[in-house]
Amino acid sequence: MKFSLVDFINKIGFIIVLAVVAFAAYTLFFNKPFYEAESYEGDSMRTEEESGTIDSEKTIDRLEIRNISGRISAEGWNNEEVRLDYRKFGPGIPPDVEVDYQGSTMIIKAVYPKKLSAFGSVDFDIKIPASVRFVKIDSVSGSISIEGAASGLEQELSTTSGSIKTDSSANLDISSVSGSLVFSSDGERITASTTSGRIEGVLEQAPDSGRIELKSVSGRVVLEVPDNINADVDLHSVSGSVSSELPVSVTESRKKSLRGRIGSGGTIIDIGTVSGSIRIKN
Amino acid sequence: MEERDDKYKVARKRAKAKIDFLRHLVTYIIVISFLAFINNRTWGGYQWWLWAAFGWGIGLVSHFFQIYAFKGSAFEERMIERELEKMDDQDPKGL
Repeated sequence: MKFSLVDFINKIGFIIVLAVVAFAAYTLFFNKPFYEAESYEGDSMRTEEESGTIDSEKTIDRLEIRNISGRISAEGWNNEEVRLDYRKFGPGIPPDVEVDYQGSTMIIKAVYPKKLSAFGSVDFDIKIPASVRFVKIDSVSGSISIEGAASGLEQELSTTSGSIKTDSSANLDISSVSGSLVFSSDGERITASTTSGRIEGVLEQAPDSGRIELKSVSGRVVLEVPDNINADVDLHSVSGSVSSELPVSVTESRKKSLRGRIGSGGTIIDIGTVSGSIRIKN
Repeated sequence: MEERDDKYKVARKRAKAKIDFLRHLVTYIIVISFLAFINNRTWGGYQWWLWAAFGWGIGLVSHFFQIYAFKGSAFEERMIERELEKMDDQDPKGL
């Protein structure tokens, strides 16, 4: 029988493929700790690569944060400088953290190197002094939360995928595509919009005038207002229920919409959803 | 002469099948190695490339058996003889 190189390579290759298939089958179906721990436990895939702290060089009154992937948590504190603690995570190359100043504005940015594998993430923990009067945070994938901020802090927060929570704010503008929005505010201008998350808001005090506009597609909207509020309300949904615990002098009522006045009117409350329910409570 | 032509056709068909398998094998090795490299260069943890190696590997093993275990084997020869006998029984005059 003559020797055939193609036959020989094919047969050796077959043995190698058989070994690869057996190894893959064992790893995927029997070696559970490796498979489960690395694949399905979400954050367990993240590995911390680097961390650091940056303090602002001067007193600032505006703070802007731009991130792509990672959690952003901020809280108020009594010191004068802004303190940024960051933690970078793999897998993938995490971004660099850059700090820039424009006048009295501090800008914190996550900047990715131009590499295919640059898809790591960075978490920000920020301490905000009382001198800061305005905070703007933009993220793509990651939650945003602000706790214990000094009163009068205006906030503009947006993320694409992730929830947003702020427990005290002045004027507020928050938006997410897929994430819940939870806020508590004493501002006169409040805008919140989300596509698939719920909106839960608290008005800490009754504004004399102003505009509160809350929009959701599929999430429910619950707005807690003080008893003494004077507002013109416009609640409208395509298929969700609409209700108010406060007495409303109804000017127009349909199956899924309600227009009217609470008290003597003044503040405009405009809430709209597609399939989520709307409720005003006190 | 006719028998020689028939043998040539069969030999050519078998050679083509074996070269096709070799191509398939080389493609498998290159692509799976590339996926494993990308997986471990960028992600590290979860070895997702093993799914591709497993699924495609089964296809490749089946391809190998088609060529080496069945085609031209004693098993195939016996099956051909059996089919010829059946045809002769049904139509002994060969019409």
